[in-house]
Amino acid sequence: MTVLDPPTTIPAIAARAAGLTKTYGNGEARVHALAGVDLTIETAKFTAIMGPSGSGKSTLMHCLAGLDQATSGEVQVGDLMLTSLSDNELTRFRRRHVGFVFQAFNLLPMLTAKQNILLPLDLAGTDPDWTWFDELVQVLDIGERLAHRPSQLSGGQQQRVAIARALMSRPTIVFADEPTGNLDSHSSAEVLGFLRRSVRELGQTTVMVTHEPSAAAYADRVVLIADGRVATQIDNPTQDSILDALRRIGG
Amino acid sequence: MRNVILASMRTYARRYVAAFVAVLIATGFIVAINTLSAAARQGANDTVGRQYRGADVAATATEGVRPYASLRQKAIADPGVTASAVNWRGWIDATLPDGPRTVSIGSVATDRALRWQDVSAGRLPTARGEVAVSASQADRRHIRTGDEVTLHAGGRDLALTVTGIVDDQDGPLRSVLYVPERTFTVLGDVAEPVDEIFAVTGDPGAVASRLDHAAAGVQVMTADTYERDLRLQATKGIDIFQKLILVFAAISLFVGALVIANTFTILLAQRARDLALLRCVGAVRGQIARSVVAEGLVVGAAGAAAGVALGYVIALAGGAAIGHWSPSTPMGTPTLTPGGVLLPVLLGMGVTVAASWFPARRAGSRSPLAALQPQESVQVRTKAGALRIVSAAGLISVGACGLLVGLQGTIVAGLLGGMLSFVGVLLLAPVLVPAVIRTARPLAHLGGAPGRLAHANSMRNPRRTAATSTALLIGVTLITSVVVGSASISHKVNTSLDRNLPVDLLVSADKGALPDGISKRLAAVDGVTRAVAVPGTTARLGDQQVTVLGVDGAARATVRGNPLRGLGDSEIVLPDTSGDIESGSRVTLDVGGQSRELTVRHVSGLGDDPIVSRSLLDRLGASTTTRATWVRATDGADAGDVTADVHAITRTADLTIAGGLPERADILKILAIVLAITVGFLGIAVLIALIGVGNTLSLSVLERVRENSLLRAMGLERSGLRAMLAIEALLMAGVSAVLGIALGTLYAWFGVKTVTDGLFTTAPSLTVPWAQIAVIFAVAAAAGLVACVLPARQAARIAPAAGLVAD
Repeated sequence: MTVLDPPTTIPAIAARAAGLTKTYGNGEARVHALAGVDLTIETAKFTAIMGPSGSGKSTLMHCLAGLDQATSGEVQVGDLMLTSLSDNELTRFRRRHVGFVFQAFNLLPMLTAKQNILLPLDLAGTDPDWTWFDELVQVLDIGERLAHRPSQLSGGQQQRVAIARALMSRPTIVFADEPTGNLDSHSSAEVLGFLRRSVRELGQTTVMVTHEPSAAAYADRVVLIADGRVATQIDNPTQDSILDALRRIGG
Repeated sequence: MRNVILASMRTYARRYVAAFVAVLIATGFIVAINTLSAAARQGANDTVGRQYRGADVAATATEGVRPYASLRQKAIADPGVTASAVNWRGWIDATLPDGPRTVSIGSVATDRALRWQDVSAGRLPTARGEVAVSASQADRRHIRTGDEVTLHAGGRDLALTVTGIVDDQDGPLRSVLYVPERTFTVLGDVAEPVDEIFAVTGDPGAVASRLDHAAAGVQVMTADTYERDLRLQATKGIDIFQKLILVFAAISLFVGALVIANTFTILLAQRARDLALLRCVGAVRGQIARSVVAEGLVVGAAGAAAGVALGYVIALAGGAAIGHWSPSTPMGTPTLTPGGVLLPVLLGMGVTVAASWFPARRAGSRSPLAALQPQESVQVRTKAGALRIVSAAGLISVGACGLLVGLQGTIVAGLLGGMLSFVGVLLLAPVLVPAVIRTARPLAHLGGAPGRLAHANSMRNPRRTAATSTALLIGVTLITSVVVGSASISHKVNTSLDRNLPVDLLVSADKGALPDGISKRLAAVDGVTRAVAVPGTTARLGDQQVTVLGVDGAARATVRGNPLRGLGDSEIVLPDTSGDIESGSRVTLDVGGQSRELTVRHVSGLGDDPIVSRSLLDRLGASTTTRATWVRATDGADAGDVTADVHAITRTADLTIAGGLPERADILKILAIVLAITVGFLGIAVLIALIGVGNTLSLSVLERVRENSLLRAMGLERSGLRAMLAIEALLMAGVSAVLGIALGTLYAWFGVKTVTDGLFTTAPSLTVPWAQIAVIFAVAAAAGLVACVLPARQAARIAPAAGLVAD
């Protein structure tokens, strides 16, 4: 089902999971969120992770992003093994190598859009690359809104600011968790378009968790998760091919 | 990170209000006290200097008048001494134009160079028949130059003419009346010389050492040295008072720290998702904790700075008020010194930072996943951990040791013990409060469904419930301990006053009967409840001739504490100073040839004459005359006025007055002042605590928007929701009140025992003023209810649908 190549021979791999399991609770109440996931994420590609509710797709993303520790198995991002890192090391890893776009509550309400975009660099204490900042602001078309607070922005604008923040530190990988979950169809298309552009034009590796086939169709590859395992992968997906695959694992 | 701190402080400015106000009040308090005491000290210092402005050398004798006279002889012989004067001071009975008074009297130096008094009208007295009056008394009693003042001393009356009005100049020599030095030679022992001062030419030090060697029994020093000693004495009282009030300031600061810690816990709970998002995008734990502490620092600094300003304004107002109401009290200008500003500011900042430290640590350790999930599921459930219980137990036992040591009279140990053990109890609150709330279950269930929900809610999160209750617990404990403590002490003081000074005023004649109608005139005096004539007769007790008094019910009614209760016909009451006749022994009383064997009972404060029952005198067929009048004053009447009026009546008939009224009035007055100060200053701490209550209650509402909306969606009416929150608030407030009253009573017991150690022969017992306790309980419950009104309205206003999707 999955082709596991040694990372040394193929450098075009951004992240890798091997035998990843995650369990919650004890005894009778034990739940396997992940039951052994093997997966590679390719560099400069737009990967979508799909699956029904409770399939473990969010947990997988949390483990890949260093937000959560796996119960067993290995996670490697770039050339860093996440499994053995302490909380502070994980935090620094996130700061340097990972960008996040969440479904909602992406931005700190008391900071302006610009401050939000620069926040990870601020926390790391590094100086921003202003050329890169200007480019992002231009590509994402948020130049007019930089001085506004999140409450003064539309949902689509908020997500675009969140994308800018995620890309600002040139992370190894960007994780987007249902980035269009709270948006209308027009804004959704806009945000997904920006994510795809950032992959195509800026070479940014991006992983998106979604349960919408129309959103997943923007990706270069779709990974289907069911019952804590990788069910199948589709390259260059269309909405129809995704729906077919979903139907197959559902039935 | 600085951006984040500044932005969040701007955005959440209103939520810092409670912490800010707590720091503000506590530091303002300290600054006001220190500034005012500094001003008072400065004032006291200045006045000492002014009363000795002419003196170069000063002398004090360890005792007696004689050394001063001999020193003067030697000083006159000394070539360096140009002038000398003895400063006199004392108390004297005088008849002022508006009536008789006991007033202070001081001397005017014969030598012009050594006079310190300034006249505002007329001139200083120089001849025997002349007197000057202080400006404040002259104003109050409408005395003008040319009026007559009569002094009563040594059985003589001395009529003087007022020649001048003297400016009030505070200091050790300040008096109401001033007469020339030489007048004191005819006044007898009403006044004592305070010191002797000299003006000299040349080096005062040399003259001082010459005189010091020359005279025995006198200490001679330069005026500078002497003034330094006097200044120390003058400011010692202020120092003690300042330290006493600083204890209350410490309590306020302590309560403030608890309120600040609570405020930050709430603030951070409200911002949990912000902080988790910060963790997601790369803030390490330390950064979060540091940012919270930095916020604390800013709030503390702002609060302390505002506190300094507030304290200074209060000090200015206080100085002005003292100047207005008591112009004679010496006050310097209240000024802020760098130290006086820096210390409270550092203290305020330190307390804020320390109080925000634990909430900050907790906030830093939250999982970044919290940002991504609905709030309820990420609540890290920490039960009362073992560490908490162990440290609470440790603090309570150390505190208990301190309290026990305090019982030996070590107030500092008792105070520290009280604070430590109280912190221990507060740490235990998450265990203690829910346990007590559990027992209130049947009560809560009276409230129907909302009542049941409220009870379940208040049991669910012990930490939150405890946080809400803590502020109120502190307030109730403090107030209860003061109320119970003061009630116990005043009860004790009253009973011991009753025992030692049972009759307010005893009027008796040196020999023979009192004039007719004197009792009626005394009874007519303003402030006298009763004046009863006590009949008596001459009798023989053993081999002594005595006047024996016969008391009846009317006379007994003037006696406080009823020491004559059940005085039978076979008993005789003797003063307990008559040590040679034991209580319970038998003596023979011989009246008009009839003799009786009587049992002795000792009672103090009823005069020197033996007392029997009136019926016994009647049965012995004695012919009696009025030998004494016992006067009972109205409670709260001005003792000075009553005594002066009684004096005025008795002086005409040459009668003697004794009795406990002046002493009783003095003691009760001091007690009342101490109580008023204590309650007033504790009120500040309680005010800070109350700010905390509203703050913590609003948290529990904010935290539960979703579940409250769920309840509403499932059919709980708006009024039901409000009722639920009100019952919850009442439960918490009631439990805090009950615990606080119990704790406060316990601390009162320790406090009373510690403070009164050695003051009374028998230790005071605990007196619980139930009515006041009931008021405290009602106020606590009302405070809880009031604090929940706004949050409850807010919660009820949120539409169920809006609340359910709220983040």
